[in-house]
Formats: sequence, structure tokens, C-alpha cells
Amino acid sequence: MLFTQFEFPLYFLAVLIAAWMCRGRQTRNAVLLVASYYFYAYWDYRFCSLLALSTVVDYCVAKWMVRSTGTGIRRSLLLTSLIVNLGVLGFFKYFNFFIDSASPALQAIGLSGETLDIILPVGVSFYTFQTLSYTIDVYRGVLKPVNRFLDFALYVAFFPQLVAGPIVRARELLPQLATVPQFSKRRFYAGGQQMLRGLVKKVLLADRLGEAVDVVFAGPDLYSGVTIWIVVLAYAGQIYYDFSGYSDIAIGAAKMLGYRFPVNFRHPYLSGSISEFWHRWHMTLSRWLRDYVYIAMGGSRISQWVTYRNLMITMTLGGLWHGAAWTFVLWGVWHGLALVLERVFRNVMHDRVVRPVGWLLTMLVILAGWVLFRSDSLGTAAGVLQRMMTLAEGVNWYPPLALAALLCCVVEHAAWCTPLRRAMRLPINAWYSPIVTTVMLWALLLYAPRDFRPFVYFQF
Amino acid sequence: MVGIMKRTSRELPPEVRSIAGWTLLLRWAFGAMVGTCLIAISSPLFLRSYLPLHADPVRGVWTLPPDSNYRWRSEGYADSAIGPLGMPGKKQGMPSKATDLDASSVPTPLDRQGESAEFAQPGQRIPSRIALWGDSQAEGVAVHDADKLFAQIEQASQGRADVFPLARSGEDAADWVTQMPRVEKHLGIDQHVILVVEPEDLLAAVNAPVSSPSSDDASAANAALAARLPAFVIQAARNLLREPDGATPRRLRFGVGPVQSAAEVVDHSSQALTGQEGDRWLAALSAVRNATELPVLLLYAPLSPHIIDGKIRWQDPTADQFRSLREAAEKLGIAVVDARGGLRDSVVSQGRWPHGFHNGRIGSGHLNQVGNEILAAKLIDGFGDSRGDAELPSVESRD
Repeated sequence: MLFTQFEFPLYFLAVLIAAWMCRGRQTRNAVLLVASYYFYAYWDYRFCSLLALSTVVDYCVAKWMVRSTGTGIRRSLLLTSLIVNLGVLGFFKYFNFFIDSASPALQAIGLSGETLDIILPVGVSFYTFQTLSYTIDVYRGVLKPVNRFLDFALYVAFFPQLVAGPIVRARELLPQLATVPQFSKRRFYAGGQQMLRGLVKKVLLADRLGEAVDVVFAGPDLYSGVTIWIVVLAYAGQIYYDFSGYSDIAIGAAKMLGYRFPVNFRHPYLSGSISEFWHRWHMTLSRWLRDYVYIAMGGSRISQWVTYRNLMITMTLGGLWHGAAWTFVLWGVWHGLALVLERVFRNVMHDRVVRPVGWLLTMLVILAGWVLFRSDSLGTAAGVLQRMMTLAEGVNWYPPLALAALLCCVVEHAAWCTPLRRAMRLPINAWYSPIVTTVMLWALLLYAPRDFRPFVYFQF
Repeated sequence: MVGIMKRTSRELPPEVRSIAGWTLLLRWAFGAMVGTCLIAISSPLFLRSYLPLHADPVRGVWTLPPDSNYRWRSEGYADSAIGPLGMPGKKQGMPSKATDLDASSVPTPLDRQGESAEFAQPGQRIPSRIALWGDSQAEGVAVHDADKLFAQIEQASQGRADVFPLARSGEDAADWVTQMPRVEKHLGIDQHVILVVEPEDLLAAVNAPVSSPSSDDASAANAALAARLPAFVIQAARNLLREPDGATPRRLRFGVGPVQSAAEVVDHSSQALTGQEGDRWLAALSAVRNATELPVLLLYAPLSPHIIDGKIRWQDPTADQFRSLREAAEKLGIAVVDARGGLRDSVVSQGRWPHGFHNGRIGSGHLNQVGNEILAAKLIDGFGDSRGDAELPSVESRD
């Protein structure tokens, strides 16, 4: 089920009522677990088994890990968890990609190299990383394994974050699931407001921008360089509002149910550097990669060259996590290179780059990266980037509504830098909150694009 | 503003909480009214009109009320002045009364019989009074009056043709066949042109005649609603209660998946044609042919090239249906003009999309000014050679 479907408000209302009517923790968690599995089965009930497999394996592995004292056994258990989780992810998400990429070599040695007809389970990249964070934390001794299977199963399958994050770590959510949350009217209201904001971001901004993006990326050769620049900016807006909108709805839904999720976005396009961008963009994934990949490889503690290598590996894996295609891998490599170069220049310049220049350079790197991210092949990406270099033809097409949505994005980012930032949360007692809320509700009903668009990050 | 924000961020003391609760409730009720007023004031800029429909005595169908103005805001932004018989954009070239028509310009049934074969042949002259039939594509949804298909045909004919836009959104061949004889004499028509976007619309011809408007119709109820409620309320209710096509009631699904994907839905273009299939087209076109003694021309303009799910669809999704349709038309002496080549060339050579609008989504949806211009030119050419692009091999049109 998607947050933007008409069925979701009815489903969520039923879950809210059921959850807040439950007095006991166990009953509440059981209700939420059933609701979460239904949420996932709504897409395809067959893949609930993968979710259950991942849950059972990691629960058992963590339990046995604590009981065993030998480092070798603990390591073997961790390896088991990694093999099962990454095996599932690798098969469903990457099998065809690797076979496709290796097919010339396979054919050379007489193998067919045929791909399989595989459906990518929704959210597999997200819940795999969540469960892995649990076993790795237990292995490292920073987290005690949970005693109740029900709590752990709910942690893995909890519907607000199940299919597209935020990637909530076990140590953040499991303690919350161990108690019955206290109902707070203010938090309930704040959650509802956040969900509404998320919907507005997704439906009124991202989807409008997406309409223009789809047109140009369907046939970039037909458009001038300036038009493509406009559309690449539109895509930057689309992907941000799409994903941050999803995160807002997820965080808001959890808040209404009495749970706290980590923040996932902090206006990343205001960043003055690429490293700052990754501290503001998909923050829960950045943290995950930092803690379980980058630092695990030594981080920046060993030497400058090892640091650069670690950055490149981490970002390349981050790119691959997003999708099984060379465009995503190259996007990761591109960001890795940018981070390495930034470190090199920071050492040389000693932070003397003024922020506006840093912001401009950062935006150029990000936009070039988005071209790779959006293109369906490296050829398309190269064609789009090439056309962006030639501006002589002027504008041969522009999408007025997408430009209006883009203007809203700029205004929203600018407002976030001023004291209006607090007003944007629409406090319950503020005079303007009912007016803005009513306008947002009407606008969603009246101006949402007719065609249904799934969230961009669902494909990952 | 900052003061308000500081105050609101604090918790209210318990002794004033009940009073604050009422204040809060009133504030929210008042705020909701102000917000709704803001939407009511601004919505005419962004929302289409909802006009009470009018039962037209000549056509015998519900039409937009003559002498009204209609706002298109769904795809492109445009305004239409509604003319007599509910014709969008057609204000001129109307006979004030049927008797005003020059008697010699109205063919008698006997004359028509003689002419019909002549009109169907290639090389015919441009007719002077054309009735244009079709659905929303021919009606000119979201296109300014001067850019609508009827106006473009008049322009392309250099003033020799007077075109009457009788197409209405949601209509099919059953409606056209029913109305054809009713308007012929009234408007002095000497040629019928049907814009065929989805050939299946023609199959409904066998269901003619359709019933005339009555007070029990859903349209009558809709007319009453449109007269009473503001457009934004109707639009909101429609968005909430109907599927995106605007016609089908919204159905919610609460069963678990998987659901049948779009790819699994039967593709009509790939269906094998059978003899029975050919008979269906023949029956449908016979119904069209029998409805009038005037010449009929089919202008074929399918939804291609089209952008679907971010990819360009170059092939004609109804190419196989069109092949059967053309065979049947040839047997019955109905002329066919194929505009596929023109639509395709416009995108390939100039990057100009015939469908969709800059305001919304270019490349898919209804015909825009470019598309109408192409079709008008093809039609006028077609009167000289009614085969149009018909010689295009269907393999090429499906690549």
C-alpha cells in the first residue's frame, strides 16, 4: 500500500484507533505487526515470506550470538546473517544486473548468461539494512538482543518505515517498542501536520515536477540545452520532494502512533559542500553507510590514501544500493570522487572557499549526479550532459506548472533559512495554522495530478 | 509574527486550558472558513467550469448551454465561447433559421444519393459545410477557440469550408449516428467528418439511436448540481469519488496483492484479427453509412506518438483495428484519411508534440494546437486524395 493511495487514510485510521485502544504492550505490538504485514501483503502477499525469513534468521542469530562466547562462533553467526540477508538482496535485486554485465565473458566460456524473470520485492533494500544493523550492533556489543520475538518482528516490519525508510536502527526503535507510548495531543497533531506536509510535497510539488522530467528524459535529443537544464533542476526538486515527502509521511505516521523516527532530510540543497550534502540528504542511509561500511573499513583513522579509498568504496556501494544499473554505480563513484577531491582541496585551501562559491560548485556536482541517477542508460546520461554544455539554442520548451513548483521549492528553501522556519511547522495555536491547513487540504483534493505516481524510491 | 510564534510554542497553563480549548476550536473553525474562502476566490484561475447542461431540441442531446463561456483548466488553460447547439467556439457561420439556408445549397435526398459516391472518391472538392464528429479530442479540450480542430480546418481550407464542431466529450458512434440526420437540414451539412482516435468508439454505432434527454437522466441531476454548487466543491467531490478518468466511480481495494499489472492487461493491438472481427467493423460502419446519405470521411489520428511512463510510444496501439476498419470502410465507400505520418513527423523533425499541453503534460493527453493544425492540413489534403498516409506500411507505424 502506498501513502498516496485513497485506501491508505482509511487503513491508517483503523490502525490508529486499534493501536490507541490497546492497553497492553503485547496486544498493541501484535496489532501493529498484523497491520504491518497486511500493509506489505497489499502489494504482494508472497513476499511476506522473505520479510519473515529475514526476521527469524536475525532474531535467532542475535540470540545465539549472545549465548556463545567464542569469537569464531560469533563471527560465523554474523556471517550467516550477512549471507542470508545480502543473499536475498543480491538475488532479487542484483542477479540480472550481474548476469547482464558479465554476459560477454560468460558467453566466451560457453555459458548462456540468460537473465531470469525476477520481481524486485518492495523495500527489500531498506529492511535488509535495518535487520543487518541489529545483528551487527549485537555482534559489536553495543546492543543487547531483544527478548521478545514480537517486538523484533514489529521492528523489522513496522509499516511506516518498511518500504522506503527512514532506515531506523534497532537501538532507536526497539526500546520504544518495549513500552506503551503515552498519548500526547500535541505530538498527535504534529504527526498529522507532518503527514499533510509530506503529502503536499509529494503530490503537489514532486509529481508536478515529475511530469516535465518524464517528457524530456523520454527523448532528450528533442530538447535544447537550456530546456534540459530547467528539467534537471526540476528533477532535483522532484527527487527531493518525493523522498522527503515520503519520509515526512512515515515520520508523521509513526509520531501519531506514539513513536519517534530519526530525521531523514534537512534541506540538502542548502549545502556548501558535498560532505555537508550527505549530512543532510537521506541521513539515515548516510549514517548506516558511515557506521557499518566506512568506519568498518577504518574510516579516516589510518592514512589519507586509505581514507580516499574508503570514501570511494562506500559511495560506490551506496550507488549500487540505489539500483542495479551502471548509472547508479557511476552516480556513487561520482559522489565518491567529489568527496575525495573536496578533502584534497580542503587540505590545500584550509576552508577558505566562501560559502556561495562552495554552494554553487556543490549544486553543479549534485545536478550532474542527478542526470546519471535519472537516465536509463549511460548513453542517455552522456547525451543529456552533452546537450547541457550547449546553451546557444535557447529554450525550446518549458513547463509552466513545473516552473511554478520549482519556484515554490526555492521559496520553501529560502524560508527555511529565516525565522519563518518555525512557522512552517504550523503550531496548533498559531492563528495561521487552520488557514494554511485548510488550504493544503483543499489543494490536495483539487490540484493533485490525476495520474497516480509511485514514490521514486520504491524502485530501490 | 515572531511574538505569536514564541507564545504558541509554550504549553498552555492548566487553568486556562478549557478556555483555550474553546478558543482553539473557534479559531480552527474560523480559519477553516477563511481557508475555504481563499480557495473559492482563487479556484476559478485553476479549475474548469461546471455549467448546467442544456437539453438541445435539435440535436436531442445534453450540450453546454449556448451563449455561455467555458473554462478549460484540466490539461491546458483555455476559454471557449459556447455557440448554438452547444458547439464550443463556433459563433459564426450559423444560419439564423433553417429556412435561411439557400435551398439550392441543401442537397435533396435524391441529389445526395447521386453525390455520395462522388464525394467518397479521391480528388473530390472541399465541401462547404462540414459536420465534425468525435469525442473530446475533436471537441478541442483545453484548446483556445481559434486553435480548435474545426477552426484549423476552416483556416486550412482558406475560408472555403464552414465546419460545425458537433463533437462532445464522452460520445461515441451511437451518439453521432443518432444526431447526424437531425442536424443535416438544420445546418445545411454536405459532408460528415468523424475524428477516429480510438477505433472502438465506432463499434458503438450499432447501438444507435440513443435516447433523448429526459428529466430522469443523470445529466439532469448534474445540471441541477452545477447550477447550485461552486465549481471547486464539485471538482473536489469528483476527484474524491471518481477514478482519474472522471467517469468511473472510484473503487477501493482492500484485498492483498498481487494485482494484475498493466502489462498483463490484454493488448488489443496484438489480438489476432478474425473474420468475426471484420464483420463487427462492417456492421458498425454500415450503421454509420445508413444513418446518412451524405458522404462520410473518417480522419484517423491515434494516440501516437505518445509519452507513456516516461517513454515515447511510437507505434500505433490500434494499428490492427485500423486495418480492419479501413477494409470495411473501403467496402462501404467511406473515405479514410490516415494522419499518423503527420503526427509522427511533427515530433521527429520538429520536436513539436501533437498531444498534451505545456501547462500540464506535453506528449500525452488530448490534441493540442499543433495536433489540430496537422489534422486540419491532412484533412484538406485528404479531400484531394482521401488515402492520406494510408500507404504507410503498418510495420513502420508500429516500430
